[in-house]
Amino acid sequence: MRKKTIVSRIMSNSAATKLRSNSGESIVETLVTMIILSLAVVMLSGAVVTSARVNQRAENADTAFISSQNQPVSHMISILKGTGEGANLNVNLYQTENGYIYYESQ
Amino acid sequence: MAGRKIRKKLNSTHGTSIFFGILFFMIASILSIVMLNGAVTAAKRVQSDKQAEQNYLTCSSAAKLLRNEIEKTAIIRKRTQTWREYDQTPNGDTIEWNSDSQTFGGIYLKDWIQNMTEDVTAGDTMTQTLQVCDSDGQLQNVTADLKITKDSSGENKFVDSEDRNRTYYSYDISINLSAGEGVDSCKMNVKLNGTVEGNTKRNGSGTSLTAVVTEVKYTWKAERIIFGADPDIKGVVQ
Repeated sequence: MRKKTIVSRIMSNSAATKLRSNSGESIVETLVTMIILSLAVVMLSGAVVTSARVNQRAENADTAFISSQNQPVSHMISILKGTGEGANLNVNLYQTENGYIYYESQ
Repeated sequence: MAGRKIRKKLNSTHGTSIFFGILFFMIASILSIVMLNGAVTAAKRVQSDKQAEQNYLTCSSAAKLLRNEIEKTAIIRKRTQTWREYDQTPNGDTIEWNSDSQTFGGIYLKDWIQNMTEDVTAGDTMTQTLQVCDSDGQLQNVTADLKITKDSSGENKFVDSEDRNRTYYSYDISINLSAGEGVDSCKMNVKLNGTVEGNTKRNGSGTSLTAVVTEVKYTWKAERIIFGADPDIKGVVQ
């Protein structure tokens, strides 16, 4: 009990001294701090990019999933050579819930 | 001496001048701004873009539509050579071009193949630009640059012995499709390998031969649709 009191007193004294001290850090301490901060920034930027990629993949998967559940409607697609003349083809048109449109041959 | 100096410097707790402090702070700020800017730019690039996604779907739909239309097309050149029965000599011939497809193959492809086969001045290559669009304007137009090339390599051909050994070659088709503009645009390529086959039928035989009918049939088989501007250089197989 007595030992503990001495240790805590020493520690509080050390912390108080450190807080009141107006001397700087050594260059080694500064360099280590810089390295830790740099790693933190690199990891943060990596996390931003990775999260964007994951979002993109999730969006694609979502589109594919919703597309497979939709009912098609008949639609006319024209293949034109120049203006006026053209071949008209009936296709199955699909529209996803998030607004994407695509079609397939009938 | 030098070692002691370095050790002293490393253990020194003395600060630096305000000039170096500000200089260090500026360098650190610039570096962090550059790094964060790079990360944000990369994030924007991979961010979901609705227009780009829609262009991809429009372009791939048009590519599959054209591919399917050409694959289900068979173009037939039918030559009927009539024979005089009394002296068994050729008495003129008629040529018909037909297609079993009533849509794209029957409307366009038949005329193009007929022209390249019958017209000796047509050359071995033909290019044509098409627009794939929908009647309601819901979808963006897709531009399809179609190129038909005669395969004169000699591997796929039909030699008509009834017509002075006239040789019929197959025709390969390459279509470059593009939808949209700028960074959101989408480009694809479809390649179809052509085949040609022929057969000859004789109506009658010997001294009662009346006609010789030769049919040459052109068909196509598609390769995979390639996603990208130039499939020979880059591209992801769809």
